Amino acid sequence: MPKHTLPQSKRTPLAADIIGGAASVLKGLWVTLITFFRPKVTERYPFRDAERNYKPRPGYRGDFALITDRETGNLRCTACMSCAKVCPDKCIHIVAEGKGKERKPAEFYIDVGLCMFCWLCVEACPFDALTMTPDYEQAVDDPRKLVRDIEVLRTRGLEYEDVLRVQTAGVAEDGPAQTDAGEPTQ
Amino acid sequence: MLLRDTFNAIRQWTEGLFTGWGMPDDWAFLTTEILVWIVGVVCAIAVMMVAALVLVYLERKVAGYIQSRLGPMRVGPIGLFQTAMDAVKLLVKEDIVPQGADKVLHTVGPALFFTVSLMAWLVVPWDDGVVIGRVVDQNIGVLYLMGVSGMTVIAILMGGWGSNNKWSLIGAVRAGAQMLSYEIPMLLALLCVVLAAESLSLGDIVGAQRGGSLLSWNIFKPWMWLPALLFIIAMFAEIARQPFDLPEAESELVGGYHTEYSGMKFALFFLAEYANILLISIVVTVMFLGGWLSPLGPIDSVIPGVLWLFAKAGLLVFFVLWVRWTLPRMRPDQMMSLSWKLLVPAGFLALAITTVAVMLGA
Repeated sequence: MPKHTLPQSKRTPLAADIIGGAASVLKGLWVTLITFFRPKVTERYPFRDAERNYKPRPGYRGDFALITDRETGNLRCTACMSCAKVCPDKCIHIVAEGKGKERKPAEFYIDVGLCMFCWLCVEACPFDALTMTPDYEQAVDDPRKLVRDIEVLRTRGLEYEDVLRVQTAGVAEDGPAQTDAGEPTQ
Repeated sequence: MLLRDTFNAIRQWTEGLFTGWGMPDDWAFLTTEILVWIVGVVCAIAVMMVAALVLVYLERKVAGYIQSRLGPMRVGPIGLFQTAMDAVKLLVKEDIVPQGADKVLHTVGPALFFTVSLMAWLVVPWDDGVVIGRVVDQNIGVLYLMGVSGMTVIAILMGGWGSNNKWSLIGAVRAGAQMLSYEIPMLLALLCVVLAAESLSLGDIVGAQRGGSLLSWNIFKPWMWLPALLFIIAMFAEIARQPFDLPEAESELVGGYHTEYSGMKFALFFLAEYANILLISIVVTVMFLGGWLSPLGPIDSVIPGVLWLFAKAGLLVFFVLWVRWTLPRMRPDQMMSLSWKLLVPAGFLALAITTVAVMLGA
């Protein structure tokens, strides 16, 4: 019968093994040591410098805002209930006051806890009165604080006015969309 | 010098006080010794606690920095209160004893581990002649240390068996095997030092490294290099740190022998583990780096020796932390074969070399 032998494994000689092992240990130690002194990659949120302020891209779906019309100083919203009707989560509650041209919302609540940020309410608004801002820091310690009322929404609208103007450039009263070259599209 | 002189002065004064009261001399001596022990043990506990607190914080910061991140930063300035808060959390945690666990072993395990760690501090020489257990150190210093580190194995086995948990048992048994296996290279390395110093006393070992300069420290003598290397490798195994952290093996055994512990009992294991790191760094410093001797030589009588001791031990502690976050874990079989097949023969070789060196009058 043929003799069954295992293939001989080539073992490195002990001295070479030891020296090789020691060398790799030292190399590893060196790498960790220099990493110790290198700059850290941790971003110290929320203690961050103004320049490193993380700004989301335009059109980011953050918290809501009601837009104030620049000429009249009133909200654009006429309490037409379009957004409340279209919302799949039924998180918008509006109480209207006034009739005809004077119609405006007395109460306007959006429960951001229910909201799924689908943008349907923004699309549905015929007056471009409602929109979402790049405000993403919405964490609260009580779910009841997630209900945004009309004053909060108005304030946020004023705060993000410039950002929103850039976002909605060329829509509504600004005229047809402008291309980068500055020429009106056909 | 200040510490030593103060210490000895207090000792003399206390003895004098007792003899003045009419106590026979040997009784006065014994009573003084006991008082020194009591005060010393309290100080040692304090040192252990502080050391553990500081070391846990340092470990997390060093780990962070090595991994290009910052480590704890929020609790207190640059995270300094982190460990204190962790300790508070551990203390208010519910003490869970697993069903079917051996209640006695489960409780005694961590207590014994902590006590044994504390016992080893008895022979640490803080300065010239400043030692808590003078009688112990003068006669059997090194032997006492080895005996004490043997007892940690019992404590770990208690913890592992008493948890009624397979993983704990595996971890504890691995720990036992590891610690016992590495006792022998450790002992052989220590024997080399003892041979050169001609005494088992840690105080004498440091004294033997006293010379005109830095170069009289053991580490600078060529025949001490192999023992030093052996001891440092064995050191990692004795304190169960990477690359020898099989007993814990966080990614394998959850927590090893301390899986089933929470609250105070876990705190005891945890604190003793970290205090051990400092303790064994101090032992290495005493054996090879000249203990409390100043690198500036006898010219330096300003900076107390104890500060030098901590400075040197501190460097070694950093080394231990540094290695943890660098090297991968060893397999149990690799660990055992390293000890028995490489380190033990190397230890005997070291002993032979040292014997020759000592005989040649080094």
